[in-house]
Amino acid sequence: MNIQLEELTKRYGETEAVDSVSLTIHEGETFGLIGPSGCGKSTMLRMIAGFETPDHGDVIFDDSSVVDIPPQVRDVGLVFQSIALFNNMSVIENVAFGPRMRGVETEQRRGDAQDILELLDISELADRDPQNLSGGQKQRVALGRALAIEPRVLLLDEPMTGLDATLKRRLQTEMVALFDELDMTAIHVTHDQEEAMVMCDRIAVLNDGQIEQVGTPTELYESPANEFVADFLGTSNILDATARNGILDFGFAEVPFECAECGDVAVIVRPEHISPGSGSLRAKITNQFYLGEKVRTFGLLPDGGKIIFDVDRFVAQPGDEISLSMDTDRIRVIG
Amino acid sequence: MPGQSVGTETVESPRLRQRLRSLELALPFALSLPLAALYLLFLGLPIATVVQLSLQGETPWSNYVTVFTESAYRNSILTSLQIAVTVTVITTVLGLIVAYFLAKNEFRGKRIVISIINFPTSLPGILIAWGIIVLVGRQGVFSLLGSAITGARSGAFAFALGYWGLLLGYTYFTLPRVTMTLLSSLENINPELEETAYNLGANRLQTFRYVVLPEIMPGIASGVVLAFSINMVAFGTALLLAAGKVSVLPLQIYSVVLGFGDYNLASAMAIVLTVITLGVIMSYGYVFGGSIYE
Repeated sequence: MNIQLEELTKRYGETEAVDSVSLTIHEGETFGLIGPSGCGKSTMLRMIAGFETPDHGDVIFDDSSVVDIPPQVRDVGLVFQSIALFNNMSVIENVAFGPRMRGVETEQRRGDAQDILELLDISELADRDPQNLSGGQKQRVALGRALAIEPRVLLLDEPMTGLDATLKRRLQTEMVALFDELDMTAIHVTHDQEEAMVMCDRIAVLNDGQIEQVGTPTELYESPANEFVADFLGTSNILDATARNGILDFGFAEVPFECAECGDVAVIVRPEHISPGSGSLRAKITNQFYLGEKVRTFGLLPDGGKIIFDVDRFVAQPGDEISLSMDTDRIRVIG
Repeated sequence: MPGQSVGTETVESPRLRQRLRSLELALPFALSLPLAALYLLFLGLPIATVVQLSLQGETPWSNYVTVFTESAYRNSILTSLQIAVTVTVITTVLGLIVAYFLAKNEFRGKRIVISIINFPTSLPGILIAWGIIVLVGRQGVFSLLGSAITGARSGAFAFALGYWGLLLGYTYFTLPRVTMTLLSSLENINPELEETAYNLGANRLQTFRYVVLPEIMPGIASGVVLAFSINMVAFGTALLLAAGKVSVLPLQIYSVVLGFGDYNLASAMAIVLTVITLGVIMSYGYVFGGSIYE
């Protein structure tokens, strides 16, 4: 199912939680909404689920507006951050709750629920109490309960918060495979950019209720539209420079660069695209973190600005001054 | 100052440190001992005395036989139970409606409304009884109004003194306490539980029935236990409103002591009252694995 948001707006008092957001989410796509807390991503999700009414704009499922349809009959699957399992019901009763409210016969809904538990590889938990499940198991039950109503779209509101890193990674991979298998349209809200990049086909980066950029993970990482996106997804060095004929002038260093739009620019360089060597950039090492596959190194530029770069082994000690070069093919220059 | 701490370490012998540690562990127990003794004395001694008194008679159980066979005494137990159960049902249902409304709605002055509902909990029972008399007593506002409008004889609408007055007084006394207990329980529900139920297709009634109600069951049970025990033991309100017409267990005990000076029989009745109330409180603990005061 296609979902279209048209100039979606929600105000709380004076503040615009969501400010005229327009988006199209395609059938079968896993779409990420990411941004810092308070950026409006959860409010958008709540408007799609029907818990909030937009002050302006429209939510369109395929070709019809759903803003007047109450949440009970919107056919939207939902997994909350708090998971919110019904503790007075067993696992299978939780999964069968939606069909039960929709009047499906006992036999039928229990069979369907069992199928879903099998799909999620937790059929042995059917008669357990939700209280006695691990974090990952609860997560699966909540997902199963949402899938049981055969939703037109699945909404995930930071459901992996609170799980440990290894389990998170495993669930993410499993969910990607599952959504592919079911050809499920899903909207995934998270503040974890890595999770969004692993799970989502496309991502919208939100800030202050507005969209900063929409794109595939690669597009967002490789060609961020602005400094906010560059900074929010991964780590970036953002340096002021002047682009002139054939060079980028940082004031303290120059690197060769062919500019399309010349003048004052912001240069976005990822830490992995800076390497020690014979470049014209000079920096004084201030700090180093050993992260296993890389050593994240912090330095000071001659103008007092900070620079972050990654090396695969220790090349210098704090206090040393070294030369750096940047991979000009991989930098992003914003006018 | 790392140097200094190293210095102290060397001064302390390991044995001294060991002794200091064990003292540190024993100190809280030692300090709470006097208060514990006092507590046991104040709790244990009266109960022990009452038990001992109740067992004195022709046979150790003769007082208890009297309590359950003599119709006046048996009836006072039944009346107490009847009033306690009735008031518990009324206040739990009313309290649930009020608390649910308050928990689900945000409006200006909500805190003030809650304070007003909560206010009677700070009033003594005797004042509430007086309030009932002022409203529906012989000279009460509503009684006079009723007679004036219908032309019925004076006092036809008065019911402050007697069973119905007692019921009203107890309800008034208990309702805010039960409402507050239920409100805190309802406010602690994760709102995402209800939203999930709506999302899965449940309507408001189904959500209340299948999600909210089971979730607040411990709260309802503690409201029930609270209401029941308050009503079983209430004395001040009863003394004023029963007016000799209705005999509830605490009043019966009072009159056995004052009228006959029979401390043994009164003790047996007090033990029966304690066992009933304690039984209800303990069965709550047994079913819900906690105390009503949690």
